[in-house]
Amino acid sequence: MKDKIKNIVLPASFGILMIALWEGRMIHKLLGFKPFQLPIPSEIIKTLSKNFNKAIIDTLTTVNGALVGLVIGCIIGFLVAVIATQFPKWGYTGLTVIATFNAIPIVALSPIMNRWFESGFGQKVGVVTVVCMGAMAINSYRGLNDLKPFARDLMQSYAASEKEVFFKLRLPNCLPSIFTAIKINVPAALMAAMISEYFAASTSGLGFGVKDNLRKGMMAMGWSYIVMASLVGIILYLFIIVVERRAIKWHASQR
Amino acid sequence: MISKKERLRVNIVWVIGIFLVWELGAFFLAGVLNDPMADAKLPYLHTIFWVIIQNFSELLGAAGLTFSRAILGFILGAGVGFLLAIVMSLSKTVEKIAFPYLIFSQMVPVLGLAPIIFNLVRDMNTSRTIIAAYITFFPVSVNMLSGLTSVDNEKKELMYSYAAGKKSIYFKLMIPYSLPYLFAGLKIAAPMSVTASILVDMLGSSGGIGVKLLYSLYSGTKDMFWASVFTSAAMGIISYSIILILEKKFIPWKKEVVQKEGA
Amino acid sequence: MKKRNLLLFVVAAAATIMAACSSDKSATGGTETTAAETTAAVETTAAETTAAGGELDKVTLQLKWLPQSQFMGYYVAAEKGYYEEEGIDIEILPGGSDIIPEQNVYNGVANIGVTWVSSLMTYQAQGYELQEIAQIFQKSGLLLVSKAETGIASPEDLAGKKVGNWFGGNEYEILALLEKYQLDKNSDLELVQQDYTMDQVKEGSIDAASAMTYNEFGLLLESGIAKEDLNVIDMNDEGVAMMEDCLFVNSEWAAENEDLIVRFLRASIKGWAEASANPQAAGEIVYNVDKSVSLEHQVYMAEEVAKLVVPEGFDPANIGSIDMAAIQQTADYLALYNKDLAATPVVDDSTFTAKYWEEATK
Repeated sequence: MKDKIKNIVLPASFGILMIALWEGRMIHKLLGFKPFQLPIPSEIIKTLSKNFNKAIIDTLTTVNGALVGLVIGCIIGFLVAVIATQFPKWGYTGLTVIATFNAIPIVALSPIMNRWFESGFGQKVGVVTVVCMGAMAINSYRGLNDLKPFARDLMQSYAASEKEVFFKLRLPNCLPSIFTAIKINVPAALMAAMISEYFAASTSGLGFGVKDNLRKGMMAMGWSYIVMASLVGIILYLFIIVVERRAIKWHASQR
Repeated sequence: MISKKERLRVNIVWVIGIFLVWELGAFFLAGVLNDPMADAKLPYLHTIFWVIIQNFSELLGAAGLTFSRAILGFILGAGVGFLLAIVMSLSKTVEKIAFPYLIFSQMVPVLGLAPIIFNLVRDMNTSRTIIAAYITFFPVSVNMLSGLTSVDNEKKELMYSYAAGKKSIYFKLMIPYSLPYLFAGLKIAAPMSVTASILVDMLGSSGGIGVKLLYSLYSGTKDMFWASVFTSAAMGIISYSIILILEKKFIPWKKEVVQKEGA
Repeated sequence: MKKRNLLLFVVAAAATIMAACSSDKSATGGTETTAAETTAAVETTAAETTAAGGELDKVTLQLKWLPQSQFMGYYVAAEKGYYEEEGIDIEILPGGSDIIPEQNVYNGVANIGVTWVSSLMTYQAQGYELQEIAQIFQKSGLLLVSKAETGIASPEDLAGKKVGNWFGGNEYEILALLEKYQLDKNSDLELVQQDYTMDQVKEGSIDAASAMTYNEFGLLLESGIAKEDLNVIDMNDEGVAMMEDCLFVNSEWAAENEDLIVRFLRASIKGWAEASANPQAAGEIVYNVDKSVSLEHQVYMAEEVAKLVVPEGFDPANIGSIDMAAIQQTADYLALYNKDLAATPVVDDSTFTAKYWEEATK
């Protein structure tokens, strides 16, 4: 229990200190900023509360797309990893192919997805899916194959079938890696959803808010959208950590 | 273990397979569905290759510029990510404090970040490298950290019982154990550093694939756009392969495991 | 172990060589252009003696967008050595999707910037001490383009249609137009963001799209759509024009570099005068700077831009002059359609100063 309190108090107090320094313009003085270049927290909060309803709607729009894309992307990535594991000869190259998608910038993906999907939602999901596949495929492949020494030999000596090896050995061994991949993909998915909105045929979403306002020089508005995005990112991340703790209690990283 | 010759054969089949599927898809769109936007959705692969061949030297020059910047950003980002993971694994407190802020750092888009970096550094080239590294470090950090924290306590205790210091535990146990995790992170980060470098090209660079992409996108030259996309994908494959080669050299024991599995 | 070290070394060496090669490439690219510029400068300085003996003052110009004929005046002036004549070593920084000229000029990454007036005003209202020093485009280049088959013959027909704009500060003229025709932007039609291609008009996912006369409209024509098949709403004709490309500086920097600004303007205006008089040649000069866009498109753009810099009946001697009435209209529309603006835009000598231009054209 004491640990739990510590876990919350420490990051929070550090955050409060930073925000206080930021608010007191110490950071601005240190780095040579003017308040209108990097708005101070109270200004951001004031702007955010003024536009709260719109900000919430925009946030939901983006998060919806990001989550759907995240799920689809993770499933595809995982399937590719499974295929690469079960059919090492023919499937392995699939990993390279899927990792390659990480090298296509979102800026290029978005207009292509714009052609494929007429709705902003479809375009967003398309972009996020492509962005999330690679990390999941690579990490779960590592988890499926990086088995404890002799674990497989042991299974073989029990005359376990390929199917049993997969479900009893590989899959549990892979769980921590899946969580690692999701942890990487949560911020990546949100960011991808936001950048795709720079180009989407709609005028809603966090990404549109950030781009529209920062381009116009409405810094406080722009940053309040960035703050919303970060909050969502952190909440989703914490959620993943909680689930992870329950799902893989046995793993060394959770002790 | 699959022999090199066989691997090559498999890869060739893959390439041919992708080519055929793509061409069929493009034919289906353009020829059967008569989609007017077919050249934007899925142009014929052979036309893309033809454009690449025609503009080969130009694309290669741009790719060289982008790739060299990607390497720099990658080394910097991976280094920072590696160190961050080590620091966070040393102390749970640091990890707890740092993580929310790492997420926050990932949620600041370049559009918001760039003016701040520019204001700090006041030099476009340095700023570009910093931003490229900034985009790259996160997956390396997360993967390395999950590797470091996955070390079994029994192993650590064994080391302690040998009276090993913290330093030697790290160098002899934790880091070698985490290498597969680190390489998984690097494999994700390597193509990402190419993306980062392309993005950074768009920050007023005078050359690079990013500029080619922007130009072709905004001037409606579809074939050049796709050629640039392919060039960036090719850079992704190259960067990924470099990490694969490094992985084989740095984790020789992993190869043994694979060999056993293959047997 | 030895083998591993060797490999490490090889990889590191390869990386360094690669990095060195490409930086070399860009470095030589840079010297090539300056070499060309210097020879041009030498030729001209032989005839004229205005050059400040040897030492050139460095000036960086931040463009709003990628190198294209939209900025031909500066490229012509650089190519012809007009900046050297004035003792200026010019560096033209291209813009990009994440580059905001106002930020870069304020930060000191660049000395002088090119932007739209409305955008400049928003930053000024936030507290950025920036001032306009010359107005390059005298007219608005914004059009609302639709395929004839959508039946948008006049702005009233926009009701019930899907209308596109890039937003981010480019939407005010459209909003002013809608207000003029008493169309509610939320209920009477759908206002959506368009990506930077013209594909949405072609495929029909947007009915009327924003297009600059000198760029997107040309792309539509070049893609094979005949002019007769397109309906065009011109912001100038509708009386809702807002001013676009202008030159601006950081006020603090300006106070210390008054003479330099005058010299920069003199060279730039000379470049613009020449470019507007001969767009064909100017388009070719820009094409040689960056060949990513076709020569035809650069020349098309040069011709259209010339019409904005020197409109019909405009005295070319007045290139760059600031029409305060037009600026005021821009300010009024901005205040009307950006409700979140930090302060009402100020239009006076401190924010839109003509003194450098007057000095330069004396």
